[in-house]
Amino acid sequence: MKIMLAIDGSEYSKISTTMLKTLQLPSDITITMITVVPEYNVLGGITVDTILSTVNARKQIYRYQERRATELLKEPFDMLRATYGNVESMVCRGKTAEQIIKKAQEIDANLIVLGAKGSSNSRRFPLGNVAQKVVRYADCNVLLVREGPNAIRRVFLASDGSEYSDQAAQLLLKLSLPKRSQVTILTALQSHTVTTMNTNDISQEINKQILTELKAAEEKAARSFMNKTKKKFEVAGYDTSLWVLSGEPAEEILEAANELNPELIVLGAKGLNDDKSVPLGNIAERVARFSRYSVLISRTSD
Amino acid sequence: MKILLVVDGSSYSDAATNMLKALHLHSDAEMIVMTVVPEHTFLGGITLGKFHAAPAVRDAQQYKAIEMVQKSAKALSDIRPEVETVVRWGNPAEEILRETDSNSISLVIMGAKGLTDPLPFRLGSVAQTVMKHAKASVLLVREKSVSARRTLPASSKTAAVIRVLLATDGSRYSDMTTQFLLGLPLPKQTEIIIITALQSHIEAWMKTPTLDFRTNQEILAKLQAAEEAQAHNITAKVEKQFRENGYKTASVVVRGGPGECILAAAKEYSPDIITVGSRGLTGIESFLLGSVAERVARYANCSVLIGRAPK
Repeated sequence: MKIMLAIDGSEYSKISTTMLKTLQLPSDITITMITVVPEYNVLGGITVDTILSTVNARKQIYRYQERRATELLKEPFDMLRATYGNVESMVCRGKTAEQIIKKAQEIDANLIVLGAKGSSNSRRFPLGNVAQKVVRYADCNVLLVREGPNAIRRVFLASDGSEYSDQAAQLLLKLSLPKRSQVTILTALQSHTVTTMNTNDISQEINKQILTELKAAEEKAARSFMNKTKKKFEVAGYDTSLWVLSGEPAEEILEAANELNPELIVLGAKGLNDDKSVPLGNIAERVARFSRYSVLISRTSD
Repeated sequence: MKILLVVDGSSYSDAATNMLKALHLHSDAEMIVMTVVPEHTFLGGITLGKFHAAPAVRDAQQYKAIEMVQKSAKALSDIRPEVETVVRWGNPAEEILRETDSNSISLVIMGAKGLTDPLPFRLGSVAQTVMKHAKASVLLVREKSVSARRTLPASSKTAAVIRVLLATDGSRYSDMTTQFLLGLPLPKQTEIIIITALQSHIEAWMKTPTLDFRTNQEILAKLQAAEEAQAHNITAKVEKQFRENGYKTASVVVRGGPGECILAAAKEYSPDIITVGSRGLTGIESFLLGSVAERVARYANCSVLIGRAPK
């Protein structure tokens, strides 16, 4: 498995490195650390290049920036090197999100790891703009890090029985986390949210009957696909539990997370009701944005 | 020009209908009112069709949907006697995007939230998908859109005065938004406040230890001076276009992250609509929606127009 870790020298890069270390991934993984020296356009299309008068000054600054960027990589490099054998690093220039996505494609990365916010982000928004773009437009799995725990005690795996959640489960199994980690499989029944049925034109009785039938059918389906997933994790040696919620999935998952404080929430980039052509579904988008915990978005590059 | 008004029976879609009325658009603008009866897939791939009583439910839903679009069409009748109505079944965002594409819609007007969206997310899931993927401008309406003090009684034939906060950064996306607004056009008494944010992330970048302090300061000072001059140029150019077209205008140049600055200015000026380009200066072609537009759409307390090239 190839992992790309984005580093920008912020607090979030530190916790991303810690997270990667704590995950204790299989020793055959390769980690490529990347730092992007940002190139900004400011109003009027002015770039720093416009301001720097001579080619020489430009070269000097470039060299300097690249040296400093390399220095940023040193500490996380040493930290990861102590745990993992294959660690590389690279420095490039350009628009940060675009470069991270592009380089991840080039090295054929399976997973991009980055802080939910970066060095230049306002505290006001829960998701930084680089993270926001990477989580949406990368074509591989993305781990958004919000905390750097010392141990992974609990992982949430959100499931809706779709192929996307199966892939999320596969990814989590492949990561082969420390066996002390508890895996909690969650699903949210959506049957009570049928507002379309709140119409006076259907008799209360029919309404109630359908809702009861729907709920029973959903619950049965949920138990069945959750148990299937549960078995896989039990075979792999994890302590596994199930949690059936009811309501809008993103809201339910986030509330459940606030109760049990998982170190990681894993879910598919899309769900049952998402438009196929959209790169990031609504539930994944909401969980990635509003979660207080780290979120792993699973996505197959097809 | 074709305008698609999307309704779902929530108070947000009533607000969207009122907003469309208040815009007092040109009489050759064609209006279509649409609703989508959601065909939700439940866990286990279950759909409502599987149930015994499904036909009765289907009929009731269809009837309710027709009622909904006709109600909005009626509300629009004093500004436009003929309004097409459309009822579709399926995934709402998908159907809205399909209609927008196949019918060459220039502007989609819809509530920022729908019937079933939890409050904390601030933006409904359908609105979220449509604003990102539509190839048209999208106006997301929030309930307190046209502020009460400036709204005239419904019977009045004169339009309420609408205040628009127009964010610009001199990129071609903000030019498109300007052209779109001029082409609508908005009622002449509309107040346009133009805001340009000097990009503070440059300062933040300077703070990242990639340069030594003195070099940082020198470059930063030069950059800021050059940028400020550009900002005033950009703002003046946009302001001139609106003034020449007879609008009342004002402008402001601020320094900071554009998303935050626009939201802060919205608190100060309480506009009815904030307009932003779908992307900005740092936008990347393959990314459908810039982070500024995304943030403003999500966190604003008023309606937000995501501008795309006029058709």
